[in-house]
Amino acid sequence: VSDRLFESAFDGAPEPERLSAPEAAELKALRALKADLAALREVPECQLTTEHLRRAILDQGVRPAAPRVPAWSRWLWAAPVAAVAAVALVLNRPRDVVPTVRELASAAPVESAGVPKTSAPLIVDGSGPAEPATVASATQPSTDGVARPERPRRRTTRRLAVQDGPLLAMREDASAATRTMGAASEAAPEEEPAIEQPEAVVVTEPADPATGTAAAQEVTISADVVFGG
Amino acid sequence: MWSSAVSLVFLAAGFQQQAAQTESAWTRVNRSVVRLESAGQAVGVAVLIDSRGLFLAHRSSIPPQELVVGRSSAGQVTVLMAEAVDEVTGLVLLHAPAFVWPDPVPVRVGTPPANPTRIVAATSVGPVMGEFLPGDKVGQLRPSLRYVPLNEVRLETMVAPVGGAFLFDQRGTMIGVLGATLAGEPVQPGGQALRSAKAESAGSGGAPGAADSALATQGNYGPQGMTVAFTFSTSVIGRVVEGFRSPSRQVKHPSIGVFFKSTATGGAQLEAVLPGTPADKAGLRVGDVVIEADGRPIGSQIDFAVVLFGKNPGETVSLRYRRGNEERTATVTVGAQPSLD
Repeated sequence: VSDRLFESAFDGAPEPERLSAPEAAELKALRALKADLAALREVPECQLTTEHLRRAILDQGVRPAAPRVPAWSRWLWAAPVAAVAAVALVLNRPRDVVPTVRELASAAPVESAGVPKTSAPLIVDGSGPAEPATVASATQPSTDGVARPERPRRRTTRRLAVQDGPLLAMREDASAATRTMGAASEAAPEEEPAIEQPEAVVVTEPADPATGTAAAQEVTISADVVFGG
Repeated sequence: MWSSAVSLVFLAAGFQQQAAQTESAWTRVNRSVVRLESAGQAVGVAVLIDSRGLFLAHRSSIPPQELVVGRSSAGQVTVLMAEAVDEVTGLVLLHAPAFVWPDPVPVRVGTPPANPTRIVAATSVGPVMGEFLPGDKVGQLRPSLRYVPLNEVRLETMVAPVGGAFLFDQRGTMIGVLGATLAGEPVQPGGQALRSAKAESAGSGGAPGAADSALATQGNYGPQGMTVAFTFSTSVIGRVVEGFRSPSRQVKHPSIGVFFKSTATGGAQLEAVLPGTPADKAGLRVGDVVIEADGRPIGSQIDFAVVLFGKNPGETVSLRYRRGNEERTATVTVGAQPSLD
């Protein structure tokens, strides 16, 4: 219909019958355009002929068909965006501390089911009794001989008892037997009070020559630990 | 493709902005930082805290002869002499007798950030990037048993001489000084600790031996190449700087002269009352259980330590305590003992 309207307006073809209101309006606009084009006769021939301009306008009336694009190609941008998002996520991930755990060969044995106990060794230095298969299931291998847990875990704290305080050492005989009892009580979780113990950081002099700083330990404070103030 | 390119641009811009902010912060504070040298070797860093030539350093940075050379980034050399020491924090006041820097800019002690913040640590080996974790941790200094609030810092470096490193936020304000690094548990003889020197020095709670064999032992923490360290809270550092700037050059830490522990029923029970101290003068005795301080209930020894730490010397603290079955009250004027050793 559009082509016939153009032919009717510009080529003198008969007017199509039964035109709708929009088509009639379009035909009227095209005729007005033809009149405007006729007014362009004043344009110098060296610049643009009315015939050239008319033909250019007529050519634009018939648009070439757009090439058909596959639907999946519209999502090609998603792949590089996802890759960039992944890189950004990796680079900006929170730097949580992943503890490097090392335990002694003579510590508690490994359960037969292969799941280490809470106090079971995660790595064995030298020729320890733990089975290599069990160690491999609990840890990730490392080239430096240190095994890391598969999931990041919070730093564990040791319970600070009154035996750790120098004030008690002044009052009591800090013999090896006393220290043995203190360590044994620390290792027995059933003797710890049921109430929640606050965590603290104990800073002990002297300074470590490697870093120039005092050594800090994260501990849980029992009720009998003495503070000064 | 355009969106991926835009994402890359924003990503690169974010990193570049972060690096630029840190570099800008370091540029600002670099004018106030000197590298301490002794016998031609870098031994630590000090920061200018007063334009009269007063510098702050950590005890670990000062050689035994207490005379050290400070070299600024601009190449200016200043002879520094130790003038005062705060035994509680280990911070040292250094004085430059012939201080002739043009337009000196002392550092400013800021407030700890509320969120994890990128920081730059001024160490003897140069600036080190790190992260400051907010939230005061309960800290106890040995052997004084004094309570101090600590903040955790994670430095992007392996074990390095970070002792006494000063921490700056991206605005260039000082928010800490490194005094301790996380150590491992005591190890059994034959066990190999990753940082054995630290593990040995940390064994105050029980010397490494057979008694520790039942303990689950942890050596190092964190991924390789990261150091977990602790800094005194800015409230402590500000108190030290204020004392060092005063004419007496003395730092006044609050103290009433008591040692205390928790009780099973709540409260802080006095284990020792030093003679002649404010607590002694106020009538407190060994065995008294403090149950309220300045209207705040005292549930544990840490609660009482926090209240005492928040006081300034010369202020008073109102105590309610139990002696036997009797409840009493006392008003104690907080003293200014530099140390409880």
